[in-house]
Amino acid sequence: MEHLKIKNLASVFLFVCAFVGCKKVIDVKLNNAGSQIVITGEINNKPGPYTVTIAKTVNFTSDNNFPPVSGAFVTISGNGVTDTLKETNAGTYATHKISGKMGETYKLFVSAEGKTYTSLSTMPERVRLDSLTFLLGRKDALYAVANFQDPAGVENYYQFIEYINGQKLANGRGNSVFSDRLSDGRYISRVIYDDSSDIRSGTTLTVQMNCIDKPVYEYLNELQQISGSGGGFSSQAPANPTSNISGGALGYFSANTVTSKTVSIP
Amino acid sequence: MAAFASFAQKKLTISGTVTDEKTGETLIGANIILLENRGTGVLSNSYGFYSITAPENTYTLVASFTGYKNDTVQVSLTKDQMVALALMPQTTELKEVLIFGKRSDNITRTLPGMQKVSMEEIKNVPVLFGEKDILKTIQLLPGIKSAGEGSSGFYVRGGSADQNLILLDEATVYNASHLLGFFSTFNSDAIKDVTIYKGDMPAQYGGRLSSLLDIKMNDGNNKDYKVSGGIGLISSRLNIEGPIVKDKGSFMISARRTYADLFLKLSKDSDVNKSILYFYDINAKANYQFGEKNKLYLSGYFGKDDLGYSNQFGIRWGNTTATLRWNHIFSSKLFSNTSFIYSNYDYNISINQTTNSLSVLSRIKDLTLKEDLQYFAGSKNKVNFGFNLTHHTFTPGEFKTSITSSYNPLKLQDKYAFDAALYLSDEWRVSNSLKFNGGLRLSAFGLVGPGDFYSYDNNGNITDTVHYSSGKIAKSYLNLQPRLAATFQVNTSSSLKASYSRNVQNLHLLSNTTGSNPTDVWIPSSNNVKPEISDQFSTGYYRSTVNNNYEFSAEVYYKILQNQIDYKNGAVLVANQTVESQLVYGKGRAYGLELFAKKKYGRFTGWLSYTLSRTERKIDGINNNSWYPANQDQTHNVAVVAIYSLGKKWTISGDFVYNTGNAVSWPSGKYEVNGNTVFYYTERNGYRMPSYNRMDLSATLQSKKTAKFEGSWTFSVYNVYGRENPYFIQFQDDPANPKKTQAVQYSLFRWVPSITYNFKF
Repeated sequence: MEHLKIKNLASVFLFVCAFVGCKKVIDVKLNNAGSQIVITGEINNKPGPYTVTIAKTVNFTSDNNFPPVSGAFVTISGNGVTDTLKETNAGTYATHKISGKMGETYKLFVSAEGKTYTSLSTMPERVRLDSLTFLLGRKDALYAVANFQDPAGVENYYQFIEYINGQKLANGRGNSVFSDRLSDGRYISRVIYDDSSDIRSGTTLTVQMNCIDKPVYEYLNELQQISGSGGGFSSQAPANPTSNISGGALGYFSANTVTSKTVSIP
Repeated sequence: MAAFASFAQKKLTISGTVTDEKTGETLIGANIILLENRGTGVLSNSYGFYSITAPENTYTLVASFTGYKNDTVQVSLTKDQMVALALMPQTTELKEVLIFGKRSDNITRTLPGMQKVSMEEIKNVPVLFGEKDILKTIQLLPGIKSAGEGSSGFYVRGGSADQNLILLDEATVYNASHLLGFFSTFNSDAIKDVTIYKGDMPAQYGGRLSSLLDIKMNDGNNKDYKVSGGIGLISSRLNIEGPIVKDKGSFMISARRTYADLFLKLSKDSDVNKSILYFYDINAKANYQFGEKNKLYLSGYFGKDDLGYSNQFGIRWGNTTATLRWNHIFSSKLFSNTSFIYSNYDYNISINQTTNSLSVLSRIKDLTLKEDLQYFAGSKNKVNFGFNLTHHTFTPGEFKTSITSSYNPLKLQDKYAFDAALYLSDEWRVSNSLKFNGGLRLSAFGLVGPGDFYSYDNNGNITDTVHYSSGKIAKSYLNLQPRLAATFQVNTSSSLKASYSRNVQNLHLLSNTTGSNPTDVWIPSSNNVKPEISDQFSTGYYRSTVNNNYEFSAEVYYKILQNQIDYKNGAVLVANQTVESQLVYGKGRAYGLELFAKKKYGRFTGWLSYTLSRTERKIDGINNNSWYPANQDQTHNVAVVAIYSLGKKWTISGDFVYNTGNAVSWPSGKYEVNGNTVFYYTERNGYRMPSYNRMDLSATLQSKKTAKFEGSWTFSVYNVYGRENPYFIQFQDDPANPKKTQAVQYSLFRWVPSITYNFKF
């Protein structure tokens, strides 16, 4: 009799599990904010050209086609050089003479649709990516681990970008930032989560590590908090990340160093 | 004056303690009157003590309490005397008792916004996983909102979750939830009395803005040894009580453990079956009566949650409280209680990976001395006065790392504070129909050294650091908190009440998640963080039917909140020595109408609760510094509870809740950064979640009932019609069509059945 009850209890519990947690796509009525300008630009320690893209926001229900902003006047200046960028594709502007140098501060100037936007970013000293290893997670999942020596006594901010067979991972996976706030001077093994579904045998994995300045770190960190799995119920009310571009544009401008490692996955 | 006194009739006092005849438990809030002089009637205090003063005469003293037979004693009052009153529990299952000459409590109580839930009601209200739960049951009262699906967290009249003072036998409980909020820390087997004050708390209490939830543990049966318990799907409970010395002292020990992790062991997945997921808690209490005038109580709570994943990650957290109390009756008119209280909340996180090993410890610890005196000054005044003194020790974070870890060891500075208060209040019966309750509470809070104290500019950069040595006051705040209430009895069945209260809060919970998170950290007021202040105005109309079977109330309130705390974008609250630089401040306001109707006795009991309310915030830098709805702002909130007894064997019960969705921030556009879709936000909390509704049912079968043994089965279903209530909404690219974006709604519980077997012998 007692046995029977326990068995019943167990089956009831399994039944419970079957009905816990469900998701569905719903229709929500969202406001349509007026179209906003979005500027993203980068200059790094590799040879140019470097590009700046300018586009517009669209409504939530529209397709993910973001209208480019053509005919803007764009300059990047620093280290005694001012480079006026040329529009190579609609909304994409490229440098032709400036080259990025560590320790220098670069200024982005954009004049578009009657408004001007500026941003300053300082390229930090480079920290080299030492090696790339793997962490075995649950259910034999593999995660990439970036190993490097953090320089002591200075604030360092890092950005990681992952590529499989040269292709950036979709939906921002494998994209993360890290600050040495709690790790100053340590030899760091940084596990990059959320990439295991892409790491498969027979592919090549590239991890790119950028050294970025503090405002760019803060921008990317806030961006990460409002997107993907970081959003939703775990974080506080989402808001637009604090941009380092003045004048009311979305997006950011970064002067950063780049190092990377590539390994083949057996 | 002297001449007047000599002509006046000599006044004498009857005092004593009201107890349960069968168990010896003291009865809180029993009604004691003299039939020949009803205006002198009183309610027994939280230790069952009462005192009535009346002219020399012969009286019929009647004590009554819901669920008990009246006790009637003939008293010939010729000198001050002590009369112990013992009430027999009502045995008929239909508690249709006509309380002799008693007016409904809700009419005579002076404080509006105060509500009690009986343990009987808590036992019968169906809840998630069948685990009867105080915190989830009070969420069915007007003005009290749930912090989320299945959550034991709650908001009172637009306050935040950290603005509720939760006391268990006078000790502060800092984190009242188990397993991320799905269970409350209170094991209802061990609880005697639950009272919530929605902002208008007696001057004796302070320290939180929105409510006081006063929970009293059982004392333990001082006549007989008793064992009771329950076996459920998720947890089991056991309660043992009995006399230490018959009629003199008793003990009670009640323990509970969940075993969700036993089911994990069944899994073949080695990561899952090595995982840990459980909590346990123990309530224990002992008391002893020394002579007629002294009684000692020692009570304690110990609870722990343990969550671990595959030996890689673990988090343990829990509360510990201990209270030593000494009741002393100085005279028939002066009752004293002295308490020594210890309260501790801590969490410990450990991460074990080959290279990244890290453990984090955080703690808040309090030591309190409290003296409460009650002076029954004649038949017209009852004076409460006393003081309390608390020393807080905050350990915001201690990080230990291995030599190969990617993290440095770090110890955030410990902080020390004292919290002192003096109070005086008087319940003044001006006439049979008019009562005043006036109180003053003076609180002093001081943040003391040793430590470095920082000042910041608007960007959060340190502009100044001052070091204070041990015991030196770095910053102090003195606040006077008036509490005023008046009750006007229109007639025997209805009354009007009005009140004003100010509350001050010097401890603030930092939490930037919407769920209940064990790692949220408490910080004290400081040179940067000012005390939170609330001013609440409320008024209400109360009515009961002649035989006291139905009661009805309507209350309105308006509350102003100052120095409310919010966070900067991307605020870093964890492991941050300069965490105060991450905060922004603002104001709040909340107002609403609360309607409540209850049927108290008979085969059918239950209540209906409706709240219409608005809760707003105005925070520096958010929504252009204009007022906006707070996340917990729910316009309409409805709860229905019904309990029906089908006879001796079956009792069925159900509840239904409906509320407007919370205010949330949703995107109003999208753009692209580095090839990924990013959503564009225009304002904080500009949207509404879909509305929420749910019905739960429960049936209890009394399977065996003899003088020696009682057994019952409870079957319940949470969310009977399986509504997919929104828990959160995520915006993302459509996986089937990368050109499109979509909104995905996540729901937590649908049709959660449970079975519990309860026994008592």
